[in-house]
Amino acid sequence: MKEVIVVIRKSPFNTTRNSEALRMCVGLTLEEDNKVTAVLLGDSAYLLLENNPELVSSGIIQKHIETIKLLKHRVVVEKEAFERLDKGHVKYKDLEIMDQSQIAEFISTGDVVITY
Amino acid sequence: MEKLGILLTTSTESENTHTVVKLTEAAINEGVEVDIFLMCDGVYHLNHEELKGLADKGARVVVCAHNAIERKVDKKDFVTWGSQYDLACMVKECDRFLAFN
Repeated sequence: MKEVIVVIRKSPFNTTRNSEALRMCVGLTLEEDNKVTAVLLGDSAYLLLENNPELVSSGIIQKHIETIKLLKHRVVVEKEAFERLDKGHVKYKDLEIMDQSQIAEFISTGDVVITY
Repeated sequence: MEKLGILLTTSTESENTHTVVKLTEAAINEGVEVDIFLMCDGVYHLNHEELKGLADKGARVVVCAHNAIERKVDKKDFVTWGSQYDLACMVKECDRFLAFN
């Protein structure tokens, strides 16, 4: 089993790369020995809000996050970033929330870490 | 033989290109097998001479066909026209994996 951690750091409002990072997370699950975790740091936490990425010519977001969770892989969000969100607009339930020090420790356990 | 996996998602003007080229050359010279996966703007390296040179030296280059088609980049003989599944396998099989984003 390989612990594969994909760290997403940028705001989804400034780049289409977040959608690509999430697509990559879904793709990484295709090899059953990969245990994939998407870690949302900083402004990438805005990915968890209701959104319409097509309005800014961005790719799919919601379906990728739902697929990662459906396949029993993980989505972790930074506590400090999550606290800045309007919880009434957070799209997902049962999110894993870790503070920065827990995330740092978790990342150090990864076999493969991909930052995006 | 040890295997090094490399993910390259930036286009050819990034300093990542030079780093990946030199790192791959050094690894091959040390007898390490190198797999390179190109996605996002990294697919523009299909038109990059130095990257073709890496394939000539023995590196296996795989491109995300979805991203290449999006960017209207033509298929080349020296690359495998692949998918995210190829990346998943590469991540699983390599001893070390480096991402250049």
